Amino acid sequence: MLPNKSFDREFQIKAYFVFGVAMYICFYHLISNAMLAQMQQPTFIFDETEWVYQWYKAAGIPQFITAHSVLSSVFDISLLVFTVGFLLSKRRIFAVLFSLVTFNYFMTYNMVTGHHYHGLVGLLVISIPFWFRSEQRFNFSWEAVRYYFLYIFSSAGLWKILRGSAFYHDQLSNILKSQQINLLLQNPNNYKAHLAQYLIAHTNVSHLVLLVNVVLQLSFAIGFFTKKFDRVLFALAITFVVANFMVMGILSMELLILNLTLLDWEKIESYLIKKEIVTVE
Amino acid sequence: MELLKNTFLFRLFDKDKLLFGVIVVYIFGVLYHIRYQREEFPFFLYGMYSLKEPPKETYNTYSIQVDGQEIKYGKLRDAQRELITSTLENAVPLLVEHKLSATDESNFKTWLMKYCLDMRMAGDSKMDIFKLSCNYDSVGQVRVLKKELVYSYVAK
Repeated sequence: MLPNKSFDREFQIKAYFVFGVAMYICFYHLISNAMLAQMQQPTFIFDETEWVYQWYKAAGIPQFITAHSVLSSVFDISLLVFTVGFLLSKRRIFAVLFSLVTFNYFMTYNMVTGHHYHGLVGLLVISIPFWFRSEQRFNFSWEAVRYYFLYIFSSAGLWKILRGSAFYHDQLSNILKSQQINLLLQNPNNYKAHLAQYLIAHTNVSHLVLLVNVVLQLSFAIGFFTKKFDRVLFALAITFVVANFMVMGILSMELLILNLTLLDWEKIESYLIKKEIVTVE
Repeated sequence: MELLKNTFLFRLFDKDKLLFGVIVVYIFGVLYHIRYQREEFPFFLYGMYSLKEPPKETYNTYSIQVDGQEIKYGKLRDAQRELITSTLENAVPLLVEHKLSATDESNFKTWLMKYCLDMRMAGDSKMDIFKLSCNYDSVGQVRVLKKELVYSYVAK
């Protein structure tokens, strides 16, 4: 049952969606055998050039957590505990703790692999508005997360233009030669392998695909000026993730959690109430 | 002026100066890192493969065989695949250049075996790591030019 007060109602619905998707992401990492306790006490916490990583390593936090399987399990389970705790109690401290545990997972995973996997940033960023009790601060920070999402895509498009790679004819073909090498070696009959092989060989087509991608990414810049096209951007973000999976073999679904900021929550609320999916006090 | 008053930052400055300060500091942090094209947590630049990718003569990858059976990366989920392939890519050069202590080397081999066996639920235990050097022909087909054994490991 949802509260009567308009803000509390919207807050609660957003919390259910955001933390519901967050749980799905955590579940995905669990079945991927990639949670802290499943890492089997890795040997290396690789050296990093970024100072936050260096400090984290110097503090000995990732080494200590991954070396103790009970502690790793506690951190993994606490993701679920803090989510459920927050949804049931609405106490902001659980949202803050969730962000901290997610931050630890993000840092540790990246240091164990020695590769900076940015997908989980979406989870981190979207949990921040739920730290705040005041209606005004929650709404402003939610809006800020929306702008952050727009920045991610616009920035990706702009960098490709500024660095000139968008105009480099063989760019996507060369990327695919590295990116899809294992797929082409191990599973050459897969439909994604056929697509990769075609794009590697037909550089005109792969360049066109790259340019379409740049246009798609740049189109998110329109969201800085108006919210009129948020529904279109919502669909474009999903299109990007599907295309990225098909062409590059990268599943960036974690970033899609930020897509929730492009939804019209008043309409969702009315729909849920009208369909009696939720009831109001 | 009316247009400016409706902007997010103007409204934020008007209503919540603390949050405004935090966001402005973050924006300046990002701009600073853009200037030097250097990424630092949490000032992400999100280039998404925007660096120019020149062609290479050979493309390298690693193949893992457990009891003669190759681990198919395509069957692994992203996070799991990354955990194996990225770790291998970072650890093998250290191993080959003898930059690891004997303990670290042994621990790494044991760890990779343990992690891979867990996924396969297999009981037996010989692991071979190969480095594959490949190139592409004109129709985009990959060819293995060289297959070198990096190391073999038998679980104790």
